[in-house]
Amino acid sequence: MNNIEKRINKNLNNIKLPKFDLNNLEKKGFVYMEKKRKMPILATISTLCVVCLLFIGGLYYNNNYKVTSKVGIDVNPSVELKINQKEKVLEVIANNEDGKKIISDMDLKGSDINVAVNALIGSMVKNGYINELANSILISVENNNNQKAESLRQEILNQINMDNISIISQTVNEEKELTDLANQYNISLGKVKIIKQIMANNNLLTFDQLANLSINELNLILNDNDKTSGNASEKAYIGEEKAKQIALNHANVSNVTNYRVELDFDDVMVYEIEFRSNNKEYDYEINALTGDIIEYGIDNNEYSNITNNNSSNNSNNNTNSTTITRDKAKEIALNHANVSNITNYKIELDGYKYEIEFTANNKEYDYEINATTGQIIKYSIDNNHKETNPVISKDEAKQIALNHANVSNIYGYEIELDDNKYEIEFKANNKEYNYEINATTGKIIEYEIDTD
Amino acid sequence: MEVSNYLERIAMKDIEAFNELYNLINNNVYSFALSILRNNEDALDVTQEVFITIYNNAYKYQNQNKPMAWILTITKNIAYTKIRSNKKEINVDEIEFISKPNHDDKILVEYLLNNLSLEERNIVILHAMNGFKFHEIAKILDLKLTTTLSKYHRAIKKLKELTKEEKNE
Repeated sequence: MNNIEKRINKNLNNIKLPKFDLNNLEKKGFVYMEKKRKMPILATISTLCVVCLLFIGGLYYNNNYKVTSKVGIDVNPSVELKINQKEKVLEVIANNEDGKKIISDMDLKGSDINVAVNALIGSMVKNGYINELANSILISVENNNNQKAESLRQEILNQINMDNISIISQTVNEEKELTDLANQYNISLGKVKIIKQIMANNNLLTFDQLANLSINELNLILNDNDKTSGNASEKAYIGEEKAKQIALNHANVSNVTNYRVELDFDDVMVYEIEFRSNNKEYDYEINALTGDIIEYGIDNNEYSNITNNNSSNNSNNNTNSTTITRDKAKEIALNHANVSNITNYKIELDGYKYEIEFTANNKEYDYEINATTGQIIKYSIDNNHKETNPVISKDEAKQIALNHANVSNIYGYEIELDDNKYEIEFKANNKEYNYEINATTGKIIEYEIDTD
Repeated sequence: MEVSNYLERIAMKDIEAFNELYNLINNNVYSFALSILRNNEDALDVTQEVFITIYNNAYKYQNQNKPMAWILTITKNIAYTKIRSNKKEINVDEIEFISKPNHDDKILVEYLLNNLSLEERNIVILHAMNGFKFHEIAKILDLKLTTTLSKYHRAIKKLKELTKEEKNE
């Protein structure tokens, strides 16, 4: 953190906020504190009668035939066990074709839950669903009583005797939002919950993308040590060491500092690698299965030099010192990228540097070039660029923004298509408008109106 | 104690844990809300709403390993629904401080709020207040990592220039 940020931090932490009064908010109905609800007398009496009537005949039924908990097991085969109060299996349900194969002709009815879970996991190993490339199992326990669900979860976890596997275990509740998703995607409630958790950690991922992944992949992305025992297998992937070598070889460096690697998901499983060397910052995204470099960026960190030079030579203004023309900057970028046929070319002068973007051979290039010296400050190359044709035209997007802003006489209008989003800027009535519009749906993603 | 431990206790409606968490991170939430809204009153409202949301929804959190990212994403979502069109310049004097702030630092926050773009403000405040890595900030703000980095550099440069001008005046 630099000095400026330290001062910002100090000052913002010095702001005094009012005390939080939960009791007062509860009176206003904003929060609901848990209290024991009193049952109305009439209801209590009628409940008692029903209980009395049911008691004798019902006791036996309750203990033995009533489903009190459900236990979901997901690998790719997805199986659900319904069990009674005595933790005996009442019913085994396969949620998918692989699940049917696992159960085959095993008769688990009446057996103890722990026996059943071990038998099913054993069958998954025997049928090759759990192996050294994918060793993750998801266990989800459901019971109306959260405490009981939790103790059953721990008990099952303790009773699984299997080495070299990784178990994600959790308790679940049948919330409408989750069951709707489970039905829509035809996956188990437990898998829905794990995907939701991953999405809460990373709001760039979508349910669609994640629903297709295996439990092992989800386990790796989730990377939650509290919830998981054992390590999810990464043996299907090239490995962190190999990924590091690929990045370092490509960058042609050997002594690096601030090295960081993370297995992550970006359409495919990737290693995200960051490091510094010779005062440059490198970022790589490497396909974890194939070792292909999907995207990389190099920041020459020239920014610090620029500001230092300016403070000594030219403290007023650095935009006047532009000596490189736009054409020259373009030539520098194209030479460096070693391409000639480019599309989607954009150039912008931003203070002391040109920002250049273009696509060529299905790759997307981003350059920042010092407008005085012509040096490349940083660049990044996305090998995975997909051309998308926007459904919404520029004119339509403009109209959407103008209608929303409810203005017609505008000036300083600019529109840019980036990442399937239109970025629109204009001024009207002494205000500055910024819109971001989805190029497929025409939906306004974000807008900002600034008084000039 | 970790923020995630507090959330676990709040999920059980532990009011003491809630008050402790509030005291621990209210400035992080408020600062981010202020960054988005540039208005003290609105930022205080959003902060309150965020904590109500935390109290009512902590049970949904369930052992994720990035609790602050979760909380600040909630903050972002609530604050964005509050963005008002006719923004006025922020007056830092409306804000109540624990101890009298140093003049230069106060001016710096004014510069930050009045001279940087929305995204620049958000990036700097998330970085300065929470020590997030840039790829984490990029995820919270839904930006590309490269965009986040270049906007961050630009913002810090602007702030350096502004504080320099102030000294020269």
